Amino acid sequence: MNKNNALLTSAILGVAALSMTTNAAAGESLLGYTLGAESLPKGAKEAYLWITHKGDKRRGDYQAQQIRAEFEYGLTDRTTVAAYLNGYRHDYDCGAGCAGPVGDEEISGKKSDIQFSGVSLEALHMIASPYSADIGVAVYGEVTYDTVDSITGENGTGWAIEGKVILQKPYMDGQLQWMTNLELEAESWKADGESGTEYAIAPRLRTGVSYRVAPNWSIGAEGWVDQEMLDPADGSWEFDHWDVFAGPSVHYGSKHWWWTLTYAQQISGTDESDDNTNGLHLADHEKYEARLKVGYNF
Amino acid sequence: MKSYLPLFAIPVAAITSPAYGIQYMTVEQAQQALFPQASAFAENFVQLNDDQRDQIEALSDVRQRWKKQKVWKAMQADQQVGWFIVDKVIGKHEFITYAAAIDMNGDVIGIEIMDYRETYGGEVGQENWRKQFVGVDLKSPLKLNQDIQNISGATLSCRNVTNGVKRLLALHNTVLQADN
Repeated sequence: MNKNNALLTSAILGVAALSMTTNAAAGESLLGYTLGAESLPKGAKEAYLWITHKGDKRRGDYQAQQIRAEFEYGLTDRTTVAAYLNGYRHDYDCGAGCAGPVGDEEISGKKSDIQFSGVSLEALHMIASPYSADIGVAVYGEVTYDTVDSITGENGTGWAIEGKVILQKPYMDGQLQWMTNLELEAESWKADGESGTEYAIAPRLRTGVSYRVAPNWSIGAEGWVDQEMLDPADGSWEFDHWDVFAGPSVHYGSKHWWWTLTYAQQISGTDESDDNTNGLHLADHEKYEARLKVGYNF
Repeated sequence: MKSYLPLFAIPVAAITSPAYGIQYMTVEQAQQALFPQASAFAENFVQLNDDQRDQIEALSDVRQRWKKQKVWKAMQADQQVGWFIVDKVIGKHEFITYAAAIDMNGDVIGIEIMDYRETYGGEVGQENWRKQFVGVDLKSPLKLNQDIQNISGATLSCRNVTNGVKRLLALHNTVLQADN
């Protein structure tokens, strides 16, 4: 790998490390990734555990899990704040590289470990309740400090700021829910041992529906399109990639406990090299993801 | 490919509670609370046809989900003093069961929450919230944050109980009044 490609790869992987850490939520999640607009009532507390499993790249054997522990608190009836502890488990054997062009591969070697990676702080403000206005609207902000590349597990220092506009519309007395998130994320990443800092901006659109099939049980489907602009340490702003994921989800909710399980397959994406003909982007993302969120209301 | 997906099943299985029933108030208790003067309740369950359901929706602007409504005539000696209706509306996780009492003029005497299992909003069962419905009729706005106050964290429950009462008033106007 030449120096420029090495820097670019480092930048892509580092920024991806941040982009994959910031998908937080306020309140019970009907879907795994697309958030609803409701806030917690004042004084309410919820604890969450998230596990996101990501698997399969172009070559080799690649698995990773993102693990998040979250505590959420209703500051007012309309504003919810939250803090997270983030970590990763990596288990891959990529040989010359699990992604990238043949002869200039990315994500090389072997790794098997679990690391604490950083913290996130989040706030959500509900502007309009989905159940008392024509459409529910909330705004959301999150700051993340990270020390681990989510893809390779290598160390560095990164920051991410993410903003969202959340829309939610109930139908059939709330039996059917439609949710859409418009997201914009700005990130920085400096790999250990590297002198430069890379930056990226990633707009994202998520949308999904959830339908209550029986008391406590809902099924749903969601998808998202994600794009990333990159400013590598030795370059200037350029388009990096886009990708599309979609898949089903199932949700169980009761008085105190809830959980949501979502599977998402990469449907399409920018080939990360000319000799990649499968129409997927597998440098920053994987072929599929599965996310389990478990929540407990105090 | 290594598979870690079975790991997901462990916490899911561990926290999935079996279905169980919690009833805070029986039909008899709700009847007694809403019609303490009544000496008997005559079962008068109503089977609605499609036209009647459409009429109820047109009058209340609320979908008549059920084809059957559990209705009783509240009797004092030989005189009917009102209607007692048990209804269900969608809560955040489960159905909310409540009872409404309507007098012979079509005014609400009161409501009782019989079964509520949601995370937030247990206040819907308290008198302060329920008494907002006393005296309302089909002409009342019955709108959240207008004549009916919301409870934070339970907006869906409050909205659906409010809409439910409006729907029962339309049921009274469309079917029960004519039945008498």
